[in-house]
Amino acid sequence: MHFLNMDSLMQWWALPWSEAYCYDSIWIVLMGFLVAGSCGLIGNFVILKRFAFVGDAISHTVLPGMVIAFLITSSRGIVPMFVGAIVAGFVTSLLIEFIKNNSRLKPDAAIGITFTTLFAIGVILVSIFAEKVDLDQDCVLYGELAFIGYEPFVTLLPGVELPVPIFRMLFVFLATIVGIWFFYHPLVISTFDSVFASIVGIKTRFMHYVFMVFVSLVIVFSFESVGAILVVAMLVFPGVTASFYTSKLTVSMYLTVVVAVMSSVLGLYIALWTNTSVAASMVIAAFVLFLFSWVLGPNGGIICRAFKTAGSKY
Amino acid sequence: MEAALIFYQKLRTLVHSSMLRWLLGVGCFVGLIFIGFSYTQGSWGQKSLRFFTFQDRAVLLTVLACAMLGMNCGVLGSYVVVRKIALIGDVLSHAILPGVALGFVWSMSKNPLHLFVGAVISGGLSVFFVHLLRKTTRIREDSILAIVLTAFYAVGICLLTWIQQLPTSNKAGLNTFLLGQASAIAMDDIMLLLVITVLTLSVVMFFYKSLLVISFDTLFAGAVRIPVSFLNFLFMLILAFSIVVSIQAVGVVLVAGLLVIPAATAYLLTHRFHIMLMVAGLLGVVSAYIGAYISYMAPRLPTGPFIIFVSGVLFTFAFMFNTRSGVLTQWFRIRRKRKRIACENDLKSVYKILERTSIEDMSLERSILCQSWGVSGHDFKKRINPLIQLKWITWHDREKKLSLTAKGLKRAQEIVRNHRLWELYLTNAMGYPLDHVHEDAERIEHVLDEETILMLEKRLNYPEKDPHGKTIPEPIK
Repeated sequence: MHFLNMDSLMQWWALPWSEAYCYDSIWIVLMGFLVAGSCGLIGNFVILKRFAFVGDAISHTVLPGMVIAFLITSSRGIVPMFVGAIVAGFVTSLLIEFIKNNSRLKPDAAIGITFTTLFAIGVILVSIFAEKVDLDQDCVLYGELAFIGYEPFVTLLPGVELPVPIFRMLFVFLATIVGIWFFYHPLVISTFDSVFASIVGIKTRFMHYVFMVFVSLVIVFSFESVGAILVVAMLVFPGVTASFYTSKLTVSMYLTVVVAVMSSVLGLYIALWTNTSVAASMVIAAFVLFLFSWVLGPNGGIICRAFKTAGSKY
Repeated sequence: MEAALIFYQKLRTLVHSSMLRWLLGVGCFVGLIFIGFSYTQGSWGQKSLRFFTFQDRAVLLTVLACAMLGMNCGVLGSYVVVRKIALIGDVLSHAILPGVALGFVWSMSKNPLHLFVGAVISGGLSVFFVHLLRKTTRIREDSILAIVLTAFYAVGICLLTWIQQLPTSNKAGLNTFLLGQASAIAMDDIMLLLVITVLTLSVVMFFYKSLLVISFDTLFAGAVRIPVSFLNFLFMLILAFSIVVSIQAVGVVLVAGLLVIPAATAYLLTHRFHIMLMVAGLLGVVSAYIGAYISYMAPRLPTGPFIIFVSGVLFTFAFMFNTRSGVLTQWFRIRRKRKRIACENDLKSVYKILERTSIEDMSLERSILCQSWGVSGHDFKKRINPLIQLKWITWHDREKKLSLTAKGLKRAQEIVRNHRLWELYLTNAMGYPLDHVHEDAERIEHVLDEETILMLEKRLNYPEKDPHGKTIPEPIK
């Protein structure tokens, strides 16, 4: 709010890079980009496999996973937390499959049942062991993106220092790229046509589990910075936005990264102008980009469609 | 008299139906535990007694509210589950957040009516948005839902963080919307809840048939002139109402569970929709009641998560043990069948030896059978025990002999007959080569029933010998 009263109109776009904010801004944008990038890349496959709500479910069941890991090891170290969370994510996807395969229930009902029950168990455990577990509720919901510059630093190369979460996220981002590059063909084939994939000798079940591990990994690491719900946004938005410009998966992947950069920068501006949560602002930015593409996108945007139907009439 | 008989028969089938038996079982179990707790000495029992006799007014309010919520969500959830839109509850519950925030800004207080109106408008907007995206793009259904959910939720969180910075005193407690607090439910909320419950039930009763048709076949509903879009709108409206009032008790995340879990449990227990509606409502009430009880016993613990947890436990029971498709039920069934087939095969081998050696008194020495089965004396005992339990054979300890009973003989003859008839059928009628028929017959001999056998015999012109030249036995009637 304070910012709108500034005398010079030229300054509004330079504000994040002014001396007062510059330090935070760079780290926030970098982190936002890494999260949106890794989520978006794996999100392309999440969208194609119709797994958006499996992602939602995993992002919720991270809570019981962390609590149980804490109760077993009684340490809040980074390793048990992440192992617990990733195991919980994987167990969630297995449970959903199990319910779906062994009853008449449809996948959406299976998802709804699994994640709400597990989340309830997480909340119950937190309140039973309230004096021992101090999980920050706000952190779970909104993430801690704004204070990323105040985390401890780690030296990556001589002269290059990064905050620890950014270092971790960078690792995840690279792992996602390498993983997708390595498994690209089997993953694409089993995503589009699993019967054909098993005919040509791809182990579809194995691919599915690899994929689920990757999704859990990305969600758990992103969860720390953007919070539970907003991870899902980052999984879905870049891929869907990119789909308004191209039908090709490879092109869509590159576009995803572009969208990730744009939404993280735009999100920072929105957060500064309105003085609200950074993670939520990034989602709003991604939403704005989505709306823009929905109207103007050359591949199935509203205007484009209107022209096409008008053209086909004559 | 006849009416009474029909009534009795109907009652019998109802009690015999899997669903009711299951419900009775769980009900008795839960009831016994409660009664047990209530009558035990000490503070635990007394506190339970206080809970069940509603001695505290606050308890009465909470229980009333939770029960109404449970019923409401259970009934509406049934439609949601059969229409395969289970996640719409999740979307709606997150999407109302900006509405709640704006409703707060409207009067700068937590006026339930203002929050309610804001929430319903924002929920309605989200449903409209989902509809619009579905119409104008090729994006997949679940991605659309995720987009709308996260976008609205992000706006809501921004508004909430903005409100936190406003200089007003009574903003505290807006956060309870995220995790819910059943004990904070006041008289105003109860009245609102009552109105909405009555509204839900009357809409469901009044439009029962139309809603049913729409849920299962929208195209047909349109063809028979049911106002589909109006009813869909009405349904979404009461769904939004119910979710908004439920959020106060169980929080944003768990509303989806309250909506889906009891309905899914009922879905597993019955194939009839009107029964599913009732069972889902009942399960909602039961889980809400038990959840309220647990959080009353341990006041530090929240109510909402326990309601979901209890309904999750009930679901697990139904998923594991329901008589139609329960995972464990099926496992037991398969195991039982395997055991029976193993017993029948043993019986058959006894019969075949007797047939070959043509011993008149239907008894067999242990050593012969041990040799035939290739087992030691100890294992032999283990193997014949189930046959003795089935009263197919009797064991004479002194002579170390076993003999077939009449029942055993009959069953053995049936199996052997089935086997040989089937072999004959495969070779004569189906033209199978002679050396291919044994394995097939070996499997089907255990499941052929009397009627099929009669047909086979008639078709094969009442044969006496199988293709290998062995006699087809005629079981004693």
